[in-house]
Amino acid sequence: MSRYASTYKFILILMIAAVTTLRAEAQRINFVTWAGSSSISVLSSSGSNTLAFGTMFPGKTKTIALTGSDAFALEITAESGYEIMVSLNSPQVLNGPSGSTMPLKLRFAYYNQGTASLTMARAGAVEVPDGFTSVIFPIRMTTSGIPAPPPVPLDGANTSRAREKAYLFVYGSAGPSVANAASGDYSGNISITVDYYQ
Amino acid sequence: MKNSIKSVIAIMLILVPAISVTAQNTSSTTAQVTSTLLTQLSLVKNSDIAFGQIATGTTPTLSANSSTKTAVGSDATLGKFTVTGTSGATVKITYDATVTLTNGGNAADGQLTFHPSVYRTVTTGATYGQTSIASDATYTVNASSSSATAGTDYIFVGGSVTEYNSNNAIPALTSSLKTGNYSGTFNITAIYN
Repeated sequence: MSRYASTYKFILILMIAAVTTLRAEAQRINFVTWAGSSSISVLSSSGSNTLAFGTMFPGKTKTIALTGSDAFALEITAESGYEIMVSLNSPQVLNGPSGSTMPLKLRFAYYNQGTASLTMARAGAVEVPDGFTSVIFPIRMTTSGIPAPPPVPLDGANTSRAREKAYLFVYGSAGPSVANAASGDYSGNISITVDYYQ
Repeated sequence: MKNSIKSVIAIMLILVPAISVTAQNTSSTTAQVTSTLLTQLSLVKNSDIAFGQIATGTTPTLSANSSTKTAVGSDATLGKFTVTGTSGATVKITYDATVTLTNGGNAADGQLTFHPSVYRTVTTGATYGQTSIASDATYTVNASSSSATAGTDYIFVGGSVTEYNSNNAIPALTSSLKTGNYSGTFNITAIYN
């Protein structure tokens, strides 16, 4: 019996440790667990997947503003009630002819107050602070600033969940080119990843 | 006691998987960032504007769009500049509306006014221009250049010389004008527009 008692105590300690861990994680409700097969879609609203700075003068910087129609716009669609994490991966330079490079500095902003025109979304977009490469926000924030209520659990009568749309804008500046930079076309690729936040 | 231990282990086995079950819904997209860097714009002087020997009672004139030279010296030359930039890009040319020429650098010894006339051409080896360029006007850098990124234009500057502060409507230099070497500086700039 005493042999079992020590084993029992050991297992109890393990359980307490496990439960303690669970409590620490339970401070934030993780609705992702119930996200099921609902996927996130990310589509360009700009007509093409290009952020074009156009022609640039040697030694000069060109800026695409958040409010400019040439800012790269994306529509993110995800299940209502969830938070999403958006990550922007951008190179620091654009590559050009003969190994020449051009500095690139991009930022991004989001609008999560529901479906809107691009103009309206740009005007109300929240800018992610300079230097940050990811941001977490609810797919739908009410205009009062209060997050939407948590999703209603699915059941036999409620088999699918509403989806919400948020907007993402990528903008920033390119240049200045160095004095001996080769003229011609410069380019680079950025990637935007959207996850349900866990 | 064995049953108790089994129950505890069973509970633990239920708890551990529950912690790790999460949905992995991720979406990503890529975009291309592009720009086109223009060729460094350059404006190089190839020759000065020279009227040579001129005389009172005349209106010395150098045509910038023909070989016509009126009342100028035999060594008179048009000013010539070469503009190099990105083919097809828009460039703005700005130059002085008039230039004051002074006798030996001293205004007290006499002054003349130079009225420039500016023409451009894309023809290599041309001796005068073809298309007039007004100051502050824009034009397209040699779009027919064989190079994808570089284009060259030639700018010719001629014009006439009149009495100081006069205009072309006053034709001849007066006989009161002092003899000497009259000179001044003509400023011309080119920038991408």
